[in-house]
Amino acid sequence: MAYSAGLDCLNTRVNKVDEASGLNETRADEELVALAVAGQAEVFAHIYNRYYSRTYRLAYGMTGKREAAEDLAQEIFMRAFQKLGLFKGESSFSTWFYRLSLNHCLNHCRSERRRDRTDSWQMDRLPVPGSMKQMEKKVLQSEVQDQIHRALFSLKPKLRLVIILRDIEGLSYGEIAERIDCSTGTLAAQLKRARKLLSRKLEHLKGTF
Amino acid sequence: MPYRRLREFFDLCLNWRLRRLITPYIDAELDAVSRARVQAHLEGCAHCREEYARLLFASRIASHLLLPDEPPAGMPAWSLAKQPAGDLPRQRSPRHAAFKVLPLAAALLVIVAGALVWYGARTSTPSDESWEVIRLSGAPVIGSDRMGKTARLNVGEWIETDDKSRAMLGLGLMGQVEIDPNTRIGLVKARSSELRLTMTRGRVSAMITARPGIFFVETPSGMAADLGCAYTLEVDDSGQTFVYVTAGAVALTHDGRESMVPAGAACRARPGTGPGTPYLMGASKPLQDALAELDFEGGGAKALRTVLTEANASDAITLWNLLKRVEGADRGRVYDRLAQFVPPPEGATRDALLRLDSLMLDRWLQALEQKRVNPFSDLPLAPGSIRMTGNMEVDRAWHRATLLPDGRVLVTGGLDSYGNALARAELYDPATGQFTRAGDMNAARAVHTATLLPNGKVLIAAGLYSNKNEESLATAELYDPETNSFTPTGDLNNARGGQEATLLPDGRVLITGGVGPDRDVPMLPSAEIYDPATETFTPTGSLNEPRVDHTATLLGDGRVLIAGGFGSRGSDTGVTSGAELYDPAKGAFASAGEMIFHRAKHSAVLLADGKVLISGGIAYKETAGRKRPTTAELYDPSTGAFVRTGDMILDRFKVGSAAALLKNGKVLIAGGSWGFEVYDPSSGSFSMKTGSLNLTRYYSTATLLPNGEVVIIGGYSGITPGDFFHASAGAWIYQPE
Repeated sequence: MAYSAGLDCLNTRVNKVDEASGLNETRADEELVALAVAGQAEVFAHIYNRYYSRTYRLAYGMTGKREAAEDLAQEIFMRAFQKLGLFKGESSFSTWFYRLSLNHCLNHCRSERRRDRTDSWQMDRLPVPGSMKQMEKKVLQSEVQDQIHRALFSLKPKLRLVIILRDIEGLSYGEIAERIDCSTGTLAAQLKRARKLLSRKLEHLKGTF
Repeated sequence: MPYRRLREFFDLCLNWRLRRLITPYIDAELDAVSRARVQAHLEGCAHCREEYARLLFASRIASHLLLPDEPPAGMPAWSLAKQPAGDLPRQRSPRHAAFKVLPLAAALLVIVAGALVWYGARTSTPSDESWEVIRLSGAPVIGSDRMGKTARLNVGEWIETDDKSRAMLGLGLMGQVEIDPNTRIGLVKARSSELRLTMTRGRVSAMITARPGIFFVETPSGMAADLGCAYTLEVDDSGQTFVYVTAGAVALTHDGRESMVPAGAACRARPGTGPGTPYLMGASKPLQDALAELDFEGGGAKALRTVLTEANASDAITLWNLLKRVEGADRGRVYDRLAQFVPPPEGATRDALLRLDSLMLDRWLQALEQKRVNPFSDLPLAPGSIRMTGNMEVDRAWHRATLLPDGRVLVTGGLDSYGNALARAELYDPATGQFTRAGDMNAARAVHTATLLPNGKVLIAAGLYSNKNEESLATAELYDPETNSFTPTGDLNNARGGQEATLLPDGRVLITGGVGPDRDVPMLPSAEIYDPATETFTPTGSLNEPRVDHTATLLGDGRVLIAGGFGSRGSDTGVTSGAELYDPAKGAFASAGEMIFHRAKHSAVLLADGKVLISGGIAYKETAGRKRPTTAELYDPSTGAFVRTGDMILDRFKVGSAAALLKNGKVLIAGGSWGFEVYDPSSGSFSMKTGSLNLTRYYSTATLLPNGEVVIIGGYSGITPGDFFHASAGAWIYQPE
């Protein structure tokens, strides 16, 4: 739902960028990477455009803060750019990139957690819509969203990550296991732990969904 | 410590293999067979159901989180200018070899240690090769010695029960076996890797939680291998075996011949021949007869023709088993018929299946089982069969279900699996097949009554606020469907639980009997009337005998028939056969003679011809060796006499409100056992219908919907009544013929 809407949005944007730059939208990631490594560094902009939305969404999910998510997404792309030469094509570029972003997010969150355990929450409010009725609905929605995000943010980064990948991004066990490099059994156990904690923290919302 | 007590103590499900599958089950990451196993387990295990609900809730709520695709100001442009100098793509630098080897070595060490622990646990032998007797009634013997309550059955010993005795064996953490009267059964092996019994006559019911392929029962005509299930096995004096499965599956084998019997199906086996073809308990009589002819009497083309003609979509399991039994052109005919109901799996060819390619056959079996057990199956519900519908939020038994004028069903109160009374109410909507919250009652209550009043409101009266008899309520409240809320109304004159409420033709409600707070004289003879106009209860006459667990049925002439229950007279054990009639005009009760049988916890339904069908129940005290009659009788108001009618197929008690008059004039009896049967007043007989409730359901409810279907809700399960108290959150839909 949120995921597929995001994908549509992403595709439209990629098409526009590719058309403007004269590059064929079907050009594979791997080709673009080869060009970037061979010296055409500006080609990486296309990779950036293709992967920005999902990276920002992940960064936002993991940090819960607009500015932090923006910085984190930029860091991820910089890191990917620096490490492009290490991509040997053993997996698809998207898997490689995903793995890199997940690791970077996890490391970031762990160090943040260590630095400030009492990190205050700054959930971004959704923009206020036009009509009153819509506004009430949005405010209610935003409060619930806030609570869900708070609960999610209180989980350990690894548990937070599996919830984002499975329940929000809708990836299959196989896809997640490949990206975070673990077995599906371990993934199921982590999901169970994460969901148990989440359900305890959000018990008061039972009946809302 | 017996399994049951251990479970109660820790309040845990010890079937960790299935427990860890709950998360992948929620995420639809299981294959069909595992999914079916988890589903069957969830039906029978309240602990896992609770965990399932918790995890599902978390997954759903997390999926509602909206993550933005980009910052509010839009996606920032990628600029190389932001790159620090020298940070261009770089080549891989080799890592030190030790960094690769060390984690591998550590992981290997952990795996080896884990494997050793697992192997040790798997092959460990119990300190004593014997089984504990966890329940006993009558005087069963082990060898020639009368069993005591602390007896154990050792390997090589036999238990024999006479016609008045029964016993239950505890298999440690692996399950339990109930031994019925007139049974002879011996213990062959009692290792944790193999549990084996041999049985020469009688009947046993087994509920096995060990992993599949560990528990076996040998009989003179075959061997039943448990595949994670609950089932009943009967052996008659000639050695013929009959097995019917209520959860999971059983493989019945003999001399290379094998039958897979899934939940809801039965199978016969004869000495020398081995197992026949399994059939669903609701399969038509001609189909069952033709199968017996094919399996055991060398029946030929005619019998096969009958099977193929009689089979419908729900008999797919029979046809699948039959594929291996017939040859040549006959196999082709069976294949064609089965393919009409369930298409062969993708990639499977007709030739491969006719060659009995085992891999293809297994995949086909999975496909048809998936269709059969999947509650959201796209198969249309065949007339005369049932399937699961949406689940309630909470598991409950001893609740009440009331049809509202708008076609929805209000479910109130009851006890959950922990024996707690519930205040929560839910609404079942037949249009969506889902339950939604209906607010909470003002008091938690079970064994209360809920009666739809002519003004569209529902009167909720009295009940127990715990699972103890003396903790009864005198309060009442009204549910208003328009506001979806409960408001208190006048109090009853007596606190009571287990009473009956009957809507009288003038719109008032008659409340009869029940148990009160007085421990010494718990059963109440009193009755009272609720008047919706004044919202008050007033006493009206007194029952001839105090009673609880009775039935109260409004007759066509406006009088109310009160029958059976635990009373103060009647048989020694307190179960009465006495009946009486309440006359609203006189406000008094008068004797209506005696039923043919003593009954309590039975069912009574008014038929279209004005007679009352009374069936099932318990004839003696549960603790003194239960006796569950399969008998049924009719009360004729015109003659005032009780006459016997055909017997039920299954013995049932604690039927509660799980019997309903169908629009075609027949009666569905859906509670007190694991299967469904329908009474046909024109022939005076009962017949089994397709489908099962997975496990026996006590005190469930059956409510006729405006579209003619019946919704069966909740109830508690257990291989023996009063043993495991596992209330169900499940609901099933019955589609009448």
